[in-house]
This record gives sequence, C-alpha cells and structure tokens, in this order.
Amino acid sequence: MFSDLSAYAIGFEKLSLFLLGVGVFFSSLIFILMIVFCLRYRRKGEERGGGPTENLRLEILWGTVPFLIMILIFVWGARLYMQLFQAEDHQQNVSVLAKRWMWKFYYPGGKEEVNRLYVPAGETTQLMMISQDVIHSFFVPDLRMKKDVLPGRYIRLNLHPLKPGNYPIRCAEYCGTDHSQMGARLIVLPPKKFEEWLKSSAQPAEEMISGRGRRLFEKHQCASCHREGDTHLGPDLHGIFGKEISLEGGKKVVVDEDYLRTSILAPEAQIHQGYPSAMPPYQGQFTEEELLSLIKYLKEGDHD
Amino acid sequence: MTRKEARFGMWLFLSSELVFFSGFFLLYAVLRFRFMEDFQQASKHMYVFLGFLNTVILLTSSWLMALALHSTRRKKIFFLGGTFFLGLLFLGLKFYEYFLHAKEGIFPGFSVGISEKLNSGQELFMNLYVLGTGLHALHMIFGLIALASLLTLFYFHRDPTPDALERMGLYWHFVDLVWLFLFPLFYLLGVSK
Amino acid sequence: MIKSWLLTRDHKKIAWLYLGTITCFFAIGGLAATLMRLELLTPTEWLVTSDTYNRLFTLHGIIMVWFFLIPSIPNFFGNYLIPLMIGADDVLFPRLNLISWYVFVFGGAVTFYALLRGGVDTGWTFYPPYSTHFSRSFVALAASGVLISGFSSIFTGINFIVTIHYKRAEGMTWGRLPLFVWTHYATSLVMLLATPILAAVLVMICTERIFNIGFFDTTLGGDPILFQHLFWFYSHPAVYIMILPGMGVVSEIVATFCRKPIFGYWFVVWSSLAIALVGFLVWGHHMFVSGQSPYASLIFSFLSMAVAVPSAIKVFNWLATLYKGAISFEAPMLYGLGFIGLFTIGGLTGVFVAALGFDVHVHDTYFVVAHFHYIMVGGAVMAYMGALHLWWPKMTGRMYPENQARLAAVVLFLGFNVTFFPQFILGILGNPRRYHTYPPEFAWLHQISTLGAVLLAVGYIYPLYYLSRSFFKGEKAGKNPWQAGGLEWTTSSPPPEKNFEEPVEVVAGPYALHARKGISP
Repeated sequence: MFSDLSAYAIGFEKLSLFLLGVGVFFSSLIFILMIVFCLRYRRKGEERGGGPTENLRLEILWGTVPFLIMILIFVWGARLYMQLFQAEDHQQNVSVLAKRWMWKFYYPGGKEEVNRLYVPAGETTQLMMISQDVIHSFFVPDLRMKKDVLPGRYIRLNLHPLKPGNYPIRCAEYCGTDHSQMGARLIVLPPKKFEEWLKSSAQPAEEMISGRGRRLFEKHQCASCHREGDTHLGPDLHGIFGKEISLEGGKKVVVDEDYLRTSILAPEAQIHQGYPSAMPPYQGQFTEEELLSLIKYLKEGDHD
Repeated sequence: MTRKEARFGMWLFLSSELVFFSGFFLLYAVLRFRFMEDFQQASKHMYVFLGFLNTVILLTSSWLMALALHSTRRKKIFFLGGTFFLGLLFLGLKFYEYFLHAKEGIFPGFSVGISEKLNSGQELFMNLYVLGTGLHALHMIFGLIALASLLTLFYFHRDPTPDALERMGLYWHFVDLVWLFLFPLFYLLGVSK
Repeated sequence: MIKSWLLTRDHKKIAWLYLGTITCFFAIGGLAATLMRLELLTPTEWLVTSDTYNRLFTLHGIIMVWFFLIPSIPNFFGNYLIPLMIGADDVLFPRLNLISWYVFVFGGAVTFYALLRGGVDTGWTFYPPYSTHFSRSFVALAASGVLISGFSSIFTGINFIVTIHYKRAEGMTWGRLPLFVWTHYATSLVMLLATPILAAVLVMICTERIFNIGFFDTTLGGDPILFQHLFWFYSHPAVYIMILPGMGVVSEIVATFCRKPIFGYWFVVWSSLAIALVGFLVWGHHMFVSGQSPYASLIFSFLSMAVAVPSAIKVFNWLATLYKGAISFEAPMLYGLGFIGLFTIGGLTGVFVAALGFDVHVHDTYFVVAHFHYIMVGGAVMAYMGALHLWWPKMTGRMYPENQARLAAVVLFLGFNVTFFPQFILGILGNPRRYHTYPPEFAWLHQISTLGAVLLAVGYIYPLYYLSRSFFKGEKAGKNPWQAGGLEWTTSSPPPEKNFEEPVEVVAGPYALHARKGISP
C-alpha cells in the first residue's frame, strides 16, 4: 500500500502518516473521554447532573490547540501541493487526449497509443492534456497524482516516476456510461528501453500526427495567408513555435500550444501585431486530435 | 402580527432575491471580462431609447406605489391602478423590444428575417440580456399578479391592510432596483464609442 | 378530516405532513442505495447496466440531499418544536409554512416525474459539459424539481428567523434560547442566503441545455469551471444546513440525559453562527484539482481548516457536559453519543481532505464518499433518529419500546461503520467514486460494505415498525418523561392546538427545570 514511486508519492505517504496519527490521537481521546465519563457518571437514581457549566480557559485551550494543529496540517499539505505547480524542466513530452471513454497518448516522433502511457523512469515527462468532450480526470493512484482534464484548454501535468513498473490509470471525474471502464496503464520503462520503444515501429512520416497536420494545413489552404515571405495577411508560421511575439495592444506572449489552439479556433482574441483581424474562426471544424496534429506540424515542421 | 414583523419577513425574502440576482450579475461580470470588446459591440444593438423609456416608466410606477402607501382609500386605488398600468406598459415595451431583436435576427433562438452574424462573445451578451431581462420580467409578472390581487381586494371592499401594501411596495421597489442595474449594464455599454 | 390536514395552519400538523413526505423520499433514496450496494457486490456488472447504475447514484444523491437531509430536522422537528421551545403558539407566518410544504411536494413530484420518465444520470452535482450537452436524460426536469423545492427552504428560513425574533414568550431572552433554536437560527440564515444561488445556477443549466447557450461551453466562449464555482458556492453551505440542526438536537439530547445544562452555552452559540458564516467561504475545496488557481486553493484550504474549529469546540463542550453529569442511556442518548463519535471521524477526515497535498490523491474517490457519509449519515441521520426518539413521547403522547429502540440504535451504529469504514480504505487504494465496476482486488472491501448496508437497512426499518406500532399500542407518556428542561416539556403530550394552556413566562435559562413561573414540572 505504501508507494515510493515518486517524490510526490513519498511526500504524500509522510503526510498521510501524520494525518493518521492526528486522527487516531484525537478520535481516541474523544472516544476514551466519552466512555470514561459515561461509565463514571452513570445516573444511579433521580439525581440531577452537576459540575461546572463553563470554563473560559478550557474553551480557549480546545479551540486553539486544534486550530494550531490544523495550521500545521495546512502548511504541510500546501507545500506538498505547491510542488505540482513549480516549473520543472522536463525531458519528455506526451500529449494526452481524453475522450469518452478512452485515453489517447501522442509521443514525440509520431508514435501514438490508446490507453498505454509509456514514460521513462527517473525522468520528468510533461503531459499536455485536453478533453474532446466532457470533463475527465487523470488519476494515477500509485503516483498519488490527479488532475482534471478539461475541454477547451490544455492542462499540464509533470510525472516523475522513480522506478519501472506497470500501474493503473483511472478516470476520476464522472463522464457518463463507461466512466468506470475508462482506464489505462502507465508503463514506466528504464530509460534505455524507453528510447528503444520510442524509436521502434514508428510509422511512415505521412501517417504520423505531424504528417496528418500538414495535410490538414494544405486542405484548409492556410498557406493562402500564412507562408514564407510577407503576405501582409498573416504571419509566416515557420519556426513560430516558442517565439515571443507582440499582440495587438502591445501585450507580449510566447507562442505555445495554447496560443496556437486559440488562434485557430478564435483568432480575433489575440491577433499578432501588425496583421489585420482577417482570420476566420475555425471553432467546431476540428476535433481535438486534429488540432493536436496541426500544432505538432507547426511545432515540429515537416519530416521529409 | 405587527408591521415591523411583516416588513422584516419581506426584507428577508428580498435578501434572498438579492443573492439570486447577484449570481446572475456574477455571470455577467465574468463573461464581460472575457469578452470586453464583443460586449460593447453587441450593446450597440440595444434600443437605448426604449430602455430609457422603460426606466422612466418603472421609476414613475415606484413613485406612484410610494404615494399609495400614505393616501386615502380612493387615492390608494388610483395610485395602485396606475402602478399596475405602468407595469403592464413596461412589459409591453419589453416584449416589443424582443420582437424587434428577433426581426433583426439577433434574438437568441428566434430570428425572423435575415440573420445577422454574431460572434460568440456577442451572442453571449444577447443570451445574458434575455436571461437577465427575462428573469426581471418574470418578477414583474409576479408583482403584477400580487398588485392585481390587492386591487381585487379593494374592489370587493375587503381592503388589504397597510402592511400588505407596504410589503407590496418593498417588493416592487426591489424589482425596480434590479432594472436600474440591468439598464446601464446592457443598454449603456455601447453608447460611448 | 383531510381538509383539516391539507389546509391546516398549525405548525404541528404541517410538521407531520413533512414527516410523511420525507419518509417516503428516504425510502426511495434508500432503495436506490440498496440497489447500488447490491450491484457493487461483484467487480463487474451483474444486476444493473452502467446507465442504470449512473441513474441510481444520481437519484440517491438528489433525493437524499434535497428531499431528505435538508428538510429532515428543520421541517419536521424545527417546525414542530421551535414555537414550543420559545413559548409561542405558532410560527409567525403559518400560511407561508403550509405553502412551503406544498412547494416542497410539488418540487418532489416534478423530480419524481423525472425519475419515472427514466431518471437523470449526471450525478447530483450536474457538472457541465456532461449535463448540458451529453447526457441523454431528464436533466432540465430534475433540475426544475430541485429548483422548486428550494423555495420551500427559503420560506422555511424566513419563517424561522422572524418567529425567533418576534414570537419569543415573555422572559425568553436570546440568552435563554435552547441550543436547538440557536442552531436552527443559524441554519435559517444559510437557507435564506445560499439557496438562491442554487436557483440561479440551475436556471443557467436549464437554459444552457434547452437553448444551447454558452455560459459553460468552451466552444461558445463559456467556462465549465464557472459552473463549479457557482454550484459549490451553494452546495457547501448546504452541507451546513444539513448538519447544524443535528448539532442542535445533540445539544438537547446531551443536556437532557446528563440532566444538566450544556457546558459552554455561549461558545456553542457562537460556534453555530461561525460555522454558518465561514461555511460560505470554503466552496473551492471541492475544486483543488479542477484547474483553478493554486493560490485560490491555498485560501480555500486555509479557510476550510478554520471552519473545522467551531465544530471541534462543540464536540469538546458536549464531552465536558458529560463530566459530572447524571447520565442515563436511553435510545436518544445512544444516538447522541453515536453522533459525537461518528461526527468526530467524519470531521477529522474532513480536515484531511482539506489538506491540499492529501486531497490530490483522494479527491473523487471513495475516501470522500466515506467522509461525507460519516457526517451525513453517522451525524445528521443519527441526530434525526435521536430526535425522533427524544420527542416522540411529546409529539404522539406515547412511549416507544425502550429496549427495542436501544437494540435498533446499536444495529444502526454497527451497520453504519461496517458499511462506510471500508470505503476509506477503498479510497486510499485508488477506487474512484461513481464507479459501476471496479478492479477485482477491491471486491472484498465492497462486499463488507454491502453487508454493513444490510444491517443499516435493518437499523432504519426496525424503528419504522415499532414507532408506527407505538402510535396505537405504546404506553401513554406524560408531560415530561425525561425530566428535561425546556418549555416543550411543560405542556401536555401531545400539546394542545395553541401549544400552552396558560401564557408562558420564562424566568430562568435553558435546561433549568422547575423554573417556569406558574408551571409545575
């Protein structure tokens, strides 16, 4: 039951032990007092109860002591939690698509898996997750890790498992009929084996996700505005991923997956400075998977 | 039951109504923050003159309602009747406005004639507008039913008590107050630029 | 005769009307739970399909929260007892009281109709986008039923507040109010100010579903997290509506069966008010992994710790009342002691889930399910059962059979723990909630839980039997079988229509016997 699969899990176990201790202590205290008092002060005849009916010192004591312990619990829990929000260098990237009722994983270099998440042990893998439909939740009990996966925006989660193994992934936000069947496996491989796996049986370039992205780019004639050389209609998208650009109004952003996704679906909200607000919104025209493929294409370029 | 007690009860009910409308205004605030420009653009579709007229109508009705509290029996009936009439007028104008929006093609769910394209932010504005003014109109209708009951009691010489009138007044003023927030937030948003 | 009931303005009759209705709803919600626990005997599907199972847990949640727990103590015991406890002849707005029952029944009928048409499968929490765009069930209908019943809460809240303010008898100062009245006052504040947000958010869900508006739809510019904020802004205070009245009952039980006043009266009063107030500030603790800002999560976690303090204070004050008391162990006291023990566990595990780092793992697992059932069933329903037994002689003029009642209380207590303690373990092991099927290694824990549920059912059905029987065959009860303080015990059992034969004048604090002017024990 004890998990030492990641630093977070180990931190969790320590916190849990403390909580269990506090819980056992206070419930025992209360149960024992209750039983002792009930036995000791049993009514014998028709007498009324006696004893004090107020005591300021006691009130302060049993208000403050629990409060202080709870502050301790709060701080401990908060520190563990905030680890999840620290920017961390990650060595691997996996895109995750949650849809009723399966998980799809997209790996760098073009591999895709349904319901199987492969990650290397000892390294940080950043998941970029989105839902095709309703709210799901990505839950890996052995890592003591959980994050809701939302429609409409990318949610990032870092995993850092310490040792190899095969662990369950479960959906933890009710999503309809087969919510309880929406499971997957987390397969942690030693780094070398992971590299081998990543390179093995890779599909031909055209079938890979970025190839599909390129085909979509061509099909929707994005190049009519977005191509090399200045068209004055839209920025050239070659190498744009990761660049810092200015938006209309002066605000600066770094072009990342979220920016690209919103630019495709609702561009008018964040127009690149110097270009007209001429791009039509593509809301409703792409599935999340197609968006991921377009973004991959724009990010990784064409693998010819 | 004294007047103080009855009034207190109505104030408590109104506080719950306040919380209800706050939920709506919170939704408005969040979505407006998200779609600053779209909201301003969409507000230009509002019929500001009609809205202004309705505001005056409602304020006048509240004034008549206040007058009704402290006058003779005959005058009470007159003032309450006036309030009722103005309330009906308000609703009539409101639905006329809705009809005009529908003709323009921008009333959510109903477009008669050519449909003008609204983007999502603008459509959300229109949805909120209909939801907000619709909920307000619903409260107006309840108020009118209550007013009609009071007037009926007068007609049958089973005069309502002073605190019944006072409670009616409190409710009516509250509904008026809600409108006074709806008006600038929806109608006056697009006026400046 | 029927007319005298259906058109009554007597708060006591209205209370009985409520009892009939909420007992029916409890049976329906309990039936849903029974079917769920039977299904969960095996890891894979055997009794019902997934769609049915999903409708069952939704129904169980909706019925138990809105149609049983929220009205249970306030609308039966509160309605019956508050006027009696303050020396009044009725509530201040008797007609509003009757209307609140009709509204409740109407809301229940609409929800029941949704059930008959096929039910709803969104969970009682109605999260979009599932509820607005994907569910093939009667969402708007069920939501409307709940919305309507919410008005019953609001009207009850108004009535209690004005009644407590203006109908107290001569000499019944605020400092002499029984704690049961104080907790209902605090509850009424929450009912009044939290329920309208539920109305607002349900209206939004219905309009979004019917008219395809985009408040919560990301493709139309909306945000599903906004729903969660609005929903929990009501639903967290709602859980305090469910537990505060129970705490009031426990105070009355403990005072009665220790034959002394509750220790630390004013601290218990202020704790109740503090719970009501701070309870409005903690809603985000349901959303720690939702994608909300971590800084918001920090604030909510901190405040959630704060709201646990007044509850802890109450528990210690109850214990201190036991000290040097003259304690007897009739059925109400057994339920009261059970409440204290189980509420302690429920409350402590609540502090656990309020700890951010811990919640990440156990959120949306059986751990949370166990936590809230410890409070709601181990707490609130136990308090309800205790109240039922404490005031049964007063309300019916008959005594229940004491030994049978004690047996039922013990069976309930055991059944409850066997049902729900294993669920803490299931949660820690990673069994998410709302799961129709589960990994086979969890089967033994589910099976123990279902076994417990059988005992639990017995613990509810048995009192139904002997209490009904006692209506006709029970020993006649006098004015004050428990030798308790409190104005309700100074009048006959059951009380006359106007509650008191002579005008009441109060000359001493609550729980002080032999201190009512002109009234002998």
